[in-house]
Amino acid sequence: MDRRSFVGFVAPSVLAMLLLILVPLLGTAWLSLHESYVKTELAEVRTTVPLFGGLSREDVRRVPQAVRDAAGNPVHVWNFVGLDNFANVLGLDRLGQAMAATPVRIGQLYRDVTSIEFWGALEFSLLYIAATTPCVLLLGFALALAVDATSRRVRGALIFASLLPFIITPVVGALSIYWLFLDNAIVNAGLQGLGFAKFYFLSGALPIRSLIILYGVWHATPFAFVVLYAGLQTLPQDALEAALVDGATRWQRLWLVIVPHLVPLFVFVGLIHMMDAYRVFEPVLVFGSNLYANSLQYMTYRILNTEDNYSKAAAASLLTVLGIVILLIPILRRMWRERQTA
Amino acid sequence: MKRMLPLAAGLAALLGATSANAACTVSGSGEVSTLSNAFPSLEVIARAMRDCSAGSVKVTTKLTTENNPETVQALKAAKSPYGLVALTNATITPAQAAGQLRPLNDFVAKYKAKYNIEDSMLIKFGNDVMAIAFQVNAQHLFYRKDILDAAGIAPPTSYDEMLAAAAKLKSTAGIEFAISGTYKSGWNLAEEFVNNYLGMGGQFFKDGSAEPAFNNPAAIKTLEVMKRLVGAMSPNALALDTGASAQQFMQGQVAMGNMWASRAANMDDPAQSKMVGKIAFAAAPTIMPGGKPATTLWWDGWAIPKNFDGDPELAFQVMMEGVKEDIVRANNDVAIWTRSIYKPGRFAVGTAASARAGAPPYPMVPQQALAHEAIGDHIGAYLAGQASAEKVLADATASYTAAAKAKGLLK
Amino acid sequence: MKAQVSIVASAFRGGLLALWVFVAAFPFAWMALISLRSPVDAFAQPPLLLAPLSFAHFHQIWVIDGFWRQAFNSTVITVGTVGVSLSLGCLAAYALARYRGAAGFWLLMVALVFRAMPHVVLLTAYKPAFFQLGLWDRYETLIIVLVAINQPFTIWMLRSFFVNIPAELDEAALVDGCTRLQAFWRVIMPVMWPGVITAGLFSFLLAYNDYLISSQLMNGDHMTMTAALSNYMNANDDAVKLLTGIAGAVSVCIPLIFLILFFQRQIVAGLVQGAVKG
Repeated sequence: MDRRSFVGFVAPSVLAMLLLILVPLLGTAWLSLHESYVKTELAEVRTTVPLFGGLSREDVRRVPQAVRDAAGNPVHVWNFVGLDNFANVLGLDRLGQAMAATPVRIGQLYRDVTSIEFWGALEFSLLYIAATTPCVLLLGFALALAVDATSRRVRGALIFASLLPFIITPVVGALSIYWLFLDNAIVNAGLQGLGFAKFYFLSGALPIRSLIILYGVWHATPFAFVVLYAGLQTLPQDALEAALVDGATRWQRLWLVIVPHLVPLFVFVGLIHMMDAYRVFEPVLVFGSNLYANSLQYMTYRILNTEDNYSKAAAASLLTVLGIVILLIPILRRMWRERQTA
Repeated sequence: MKRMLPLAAGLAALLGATSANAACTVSGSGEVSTLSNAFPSLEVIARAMRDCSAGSVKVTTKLTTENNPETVQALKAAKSPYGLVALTNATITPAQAAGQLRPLNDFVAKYKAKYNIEDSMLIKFGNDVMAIAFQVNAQHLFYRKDILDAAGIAPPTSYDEMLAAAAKLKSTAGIEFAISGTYKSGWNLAEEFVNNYLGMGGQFFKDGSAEPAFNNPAAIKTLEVMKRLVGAMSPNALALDTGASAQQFMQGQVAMGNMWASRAANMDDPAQSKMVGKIAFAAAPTIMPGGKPATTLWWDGWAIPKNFDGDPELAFQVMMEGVKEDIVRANNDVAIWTRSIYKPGRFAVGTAASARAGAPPYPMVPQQALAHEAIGDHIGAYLAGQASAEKVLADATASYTAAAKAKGLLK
Repeated sequence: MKAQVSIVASAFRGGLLALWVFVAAFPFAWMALISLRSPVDAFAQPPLLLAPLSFAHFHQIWVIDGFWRQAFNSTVITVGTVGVSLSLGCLAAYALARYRGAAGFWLLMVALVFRAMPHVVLLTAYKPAFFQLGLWDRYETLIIVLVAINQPFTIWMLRSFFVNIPAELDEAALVDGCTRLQAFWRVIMPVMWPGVITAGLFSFLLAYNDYLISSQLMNGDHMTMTAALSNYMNANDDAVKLLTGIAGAVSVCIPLIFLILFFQRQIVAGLVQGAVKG
């Protein structure tokens, strides 16, 4: 295909991505370098509020009030602040304090640093990736092997049930799990019925983080399962038969023939899952209450909505994108090398 | 199809009550969209407002518990798509300070007679009426009368008594965690801190300024009491939201706690609660001897954005149609209404007692919301045993200072 | 000896599968069950196995609250998103599959970075801009935004399908005197339908399941079903409302369940295509 028709074909799609992804990204960058607010000054204000049954209470105090221009409209301030918003998100001053503390104790330093919102969010985002990825791959592989070995008649039903956690609206899925683990809800009732002591699943960082990770595994395993299952359908039959003729055991066949064949798929699933895990949001929203677990995307959402600070949210967004690029660099390099050799 | 009778009856009552508002009489034309939180009284009001849609008038309502961020954005935009926004003590002040609300004095004067607008409904900043309040709300004591009576315990009036009662119930009645609270880390936990810290006589800012002043011995003492309370709650307490906490009461799992007045009526709804008639209400406990009840009084009301892209007079009429006397009369027990025709019943006892004992209103200064947010983000770490009280208060102060600077409230 | 091993193995396999199916389906089954109960039973502590059932919550959300409006909105948004996504995506993906220049490679790499980007990053920029321009709360706006977000994934997936179609096909058409566009439309697209259906399903899922963007950009009567659930789910003020939301959530799941039932093969094919051609 020549260059001109290539450009013609990709133009609409590229234009859409340019306008709706790249331009907003640049806008975000611009926002992140500024601050904006309504200019205020302290003024004495008397407020009257209802209390109860027709009673009101008056209160006089000095509170910030908008400075108004000649036309009576509030004055908006729009300042260039350089990298202040980034310093704010990264908590550089508190980071400095934590670093300067003597004597240096690694455990204490780690706790101090992760108590800063950004670093805590980064910590759990990475922990989530590290904990879910191997579980998703292993469980997905085990399921793929198991389904592959069952009779054809039940496979359809198995695949159907397996896809549920992956396909259904994540926020609904996360909630449906949260309810199961409340104080006296079904999981606890079940455990007690089996003779276990009552367990408080939301009582601390460890159990809550475990639950979020459990949700992550539950949600993503079907993806790994389906891909690996499909990979099993393309196994080279002659290699398998040759292994059988050589008298290879089950394990040997698994390790010497099946796993090597599936390695590219493991890599692929692992990468896609890492990308998705990096932006974990729903379970943190549902379980998290950012005391015990936070994630980068949840943090940005919180800054944007609750803290209502567009500039700081923009800085947090850009730091998140930077993280993604760093995460993707090995992959991009590998693809580039493959292209060079091809 | 077999219906759940009580539930269906309740819904029918709710619907029947408001469809009486077919007689909406607004003049003007255009579209009014409203944005509000979603609790029972607002549902009633929203339905009455929607009944005003006729001919050239169209009213749409959006009710969501995530209304605050959206309200803030709408008020900030070039044109607000919403003609009416529901605000509270905490949310009106930043908007008022930034000059984003339309003063309502002219409309109040014009429609005072038609809708019987009472002075006790007006939220005033100086001489400007900025909002019309329709209900008040507060956290106060909910307790299981049957359990406390059986154990010979009087309803606690202070946290010390409450903790002693919890200890007694643990040893005699076998209730392991007798106390419930809206202690979910974040906004709810910060609200508890505000209640308790004010009950301890603390103040959040240096006089007449936005300088933070909530890192002091009174704040540390407040946190210590809160930690003792958490010790008598379910170990999940810091992760349970208000709904889960209300469930603990309605399912008979707990015996005492501070809960929102707006949830009192649900305790007696057989469709939701196993404890119908067993839960009684009283003033919020005090946190220090001789102190005032450790709670704050809230109001909920409606305001008109200054940047509203439509007819504010029509919006005002729609607002008043939603909170007119007929609506209050037909839905008396849904809320603690500000109108004088409201007949306080058993669900208003706790709020009334708290107010009479001198509980303060939630502080109406614009920087309070920022302090609330910062406190909610940090104090949970102390209650969960992850950091010292001094450290979390220092962290909260630092977060507040950064946020206040970004909003131009501090230099 | 060997027989014993295989009995143990198949018992283990059966156990694993049974456990997984239970874990995968139970949360939904439980949610569906409590959506049919009254609040006091639904959240009973300890939980009840048996309780009276009724469709009151479904009646509330569909008939009284008019959830059909949200269903209509979801239909408009998903149909719009899928249609536009595929039209743009097919053109671009076809070109990317056939073009050998470096520009194509870089375009795919940039798309990969975009694919990995958290959606909230875009929201940070959209919200102030759309509010200022008064462009929010419109079907077009949400569709365009969802298309853009979905585009990187769509072109990656469609490209892997196009790559599998032998280039000799379009070359033969070009030799016969077709233009590129004619070759694409008359020769390639007719054999591309499986790929288009698969990519369409994934676009559908994205648009249908999106919560973050839709709940922020749409208002009241224009909300999609998934976004409207937030009005109920967060309203934990009373359990009746929460259960109405759960009935809504179950309703939202039903089309997805049918989707899996009818299009299982295509979904699997889509995942596999993505995998094999990465």
